[in-house]
Amino acid sequence: MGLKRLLIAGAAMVLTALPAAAGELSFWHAYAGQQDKVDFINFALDEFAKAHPDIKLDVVAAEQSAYKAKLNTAMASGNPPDVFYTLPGGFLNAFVNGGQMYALDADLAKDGWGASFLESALAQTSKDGHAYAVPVDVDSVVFWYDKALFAENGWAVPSSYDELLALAEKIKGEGIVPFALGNKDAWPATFWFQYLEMRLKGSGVVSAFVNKDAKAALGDEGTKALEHVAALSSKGYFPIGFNGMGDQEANMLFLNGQAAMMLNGTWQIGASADAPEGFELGYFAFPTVAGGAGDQSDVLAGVAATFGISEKAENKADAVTLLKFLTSSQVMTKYVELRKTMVTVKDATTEAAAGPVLFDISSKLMAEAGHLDPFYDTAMPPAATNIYYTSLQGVLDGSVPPADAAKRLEDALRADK
Amino acid sequence: MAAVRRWTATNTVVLFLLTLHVLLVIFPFIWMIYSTFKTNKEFMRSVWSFPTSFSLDAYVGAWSGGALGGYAVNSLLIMAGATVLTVAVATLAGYALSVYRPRWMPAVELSLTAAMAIPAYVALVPLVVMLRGAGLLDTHMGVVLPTAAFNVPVTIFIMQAFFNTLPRELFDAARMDGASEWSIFAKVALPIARPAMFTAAIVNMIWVWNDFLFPVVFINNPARKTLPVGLTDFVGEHITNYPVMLAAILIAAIAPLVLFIFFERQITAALLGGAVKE
Repeated sequence: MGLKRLLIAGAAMVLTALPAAAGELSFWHAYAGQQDKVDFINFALDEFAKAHPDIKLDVVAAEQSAYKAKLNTAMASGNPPDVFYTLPGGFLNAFVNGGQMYALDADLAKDGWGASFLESALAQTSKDGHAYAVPVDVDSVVFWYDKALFAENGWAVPSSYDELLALAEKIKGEGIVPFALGNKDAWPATFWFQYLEMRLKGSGVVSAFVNKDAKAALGDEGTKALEHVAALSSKGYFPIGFNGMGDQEANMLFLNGQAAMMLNGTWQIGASADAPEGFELGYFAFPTVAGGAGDQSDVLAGVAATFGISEKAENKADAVTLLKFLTSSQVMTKYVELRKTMVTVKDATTEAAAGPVLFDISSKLMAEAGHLDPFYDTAMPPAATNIYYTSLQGVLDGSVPPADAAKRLEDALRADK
Repeated sequence: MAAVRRWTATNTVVLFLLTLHVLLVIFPFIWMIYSTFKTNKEFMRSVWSFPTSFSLDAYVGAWSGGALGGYAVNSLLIMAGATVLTVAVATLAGYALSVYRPRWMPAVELSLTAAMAIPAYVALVPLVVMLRGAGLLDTHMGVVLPTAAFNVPVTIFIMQAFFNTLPRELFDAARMDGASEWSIFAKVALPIARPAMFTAAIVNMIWVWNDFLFPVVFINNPARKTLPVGLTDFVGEHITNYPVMLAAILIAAIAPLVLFIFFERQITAALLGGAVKE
């Protein structure tokens, strides 16, 4: 084989592509990899094509973790898509700080678009009084349990943290893991810390840091909450090897009755769809903590996904039309129906679309909550999130003392400029 | 030495351990195959059990869930392009580095070593800017060129190490016969270098085939996705249909499996190359 032939073969590899035509709107999203997500985006884009045949979309989809790498690179290289999916909080704020997001205030003020969203949700996509993205869905975290398993064993749903611990001890005695937890990706255990901090000190702790509140502090409660988390682990209430187990593996333990409860987001409803016969999903609120200073009715609930427009987008009018369509109550109700998660558009989480469990959470737990406190890990800047994750994993495996972890986290939250 | 081989107790122990090892290695693969015949519900109920019914739904789901055939073609094109380019450049450079030794050559070697120390992540943003400038973003070539650039330094060292083993007399004799430098390379060195080039090619093919970062970042058009990127479409954030995902992985594994069956001897030799001195 001659070298010349090799080189010719190499040159023959030049396969060029047509660049996106002018006037087209590029739209990037992360609704991939999961059937309910794919079904939703297919529905939304089909309907959009019917309603707006004049607007051509150049769609790029990638699965969540790949998507983040892709979007970050595109943004950093000054080549952002016109309209795109982004996470709220620290992820979005990094783009806002770089002047890359188009402020939606004027558009939201028109035709009651802004008023169609829950205020608490829109607040999570705003910075310094300007909205830079529109919120899509809201996840809230509750305790999940199998009603059938509880009835069979005569276990009662606990209403206080002490009752929860007593129940865990009883369940452990039966040879069942009290709480399913697969903490390989570090976010699942954050729900435990955050709820304990919310119950002990109150909601809004991390938001205060993000908003540069001079009085922002984790307080002694931070250490105390971490001590509680460490105790759960040392008492063996989590599965063996949970820090190396994936969230979906932990979910299998839960669905098969090898673990009794799971503190997890509302996506658990979708994740329980393939549960074995006889499994009956129930939920209860994170119980009250005796002597806690926080409002005991507060719920950990935050915006999961948002859509924004790039400052560089040439055709902002069409981009806004797309966002308005995606967040219309028609599309959002379909979102609830397909994905079984709550949406941020008022009255779109209907009973018919949500099903009994989700509607109960939406209309009772969430409606009666004193405050909704968004997810700490996404609210804080990405650098602090990493420290939050590693310190919490350290506390769980006993390698980091709770007081040290609390100090590390507090320092990281203060360091954010 | 031993004229008569006798079955000893040691042999039994070794055979037992080897059998155990083979089972351990092969079980995940067998598990993957039989799991694809289960429904997700069955899978969730019991991860290890055999399927109770025989269903090909997972394969239907995998085939319709993504254009796996198209992804495989993209992977093959990018693999072929990057490998040919890398090996061509590295053979020329490796030969030059081995045969010609002017005083500044160590500086060239040092810069190649330094290039190997640059993590791909660091280069991501500048690469996107450059590729866009060249109109190569979202093309196969846009993945081939940076991939080759990153693989060239290591491949040069593989080729250089090979040319170093050739006796200098070989080239001197050709030179005495009045051969030009180019024909010494093309007619003397290159034919002998074929096995080394093959080794370098196989190592490169494996790297490029498995690469995820460059294709995921540089390719937007779903029709140009490579297999590793396309396979992520089967992994959910919170919910995964495992039988469908495993079926997709099995389909995706067909191409490398066929390649391996055809080139098994060469691949094994390539991977062991340099491990022992011949």
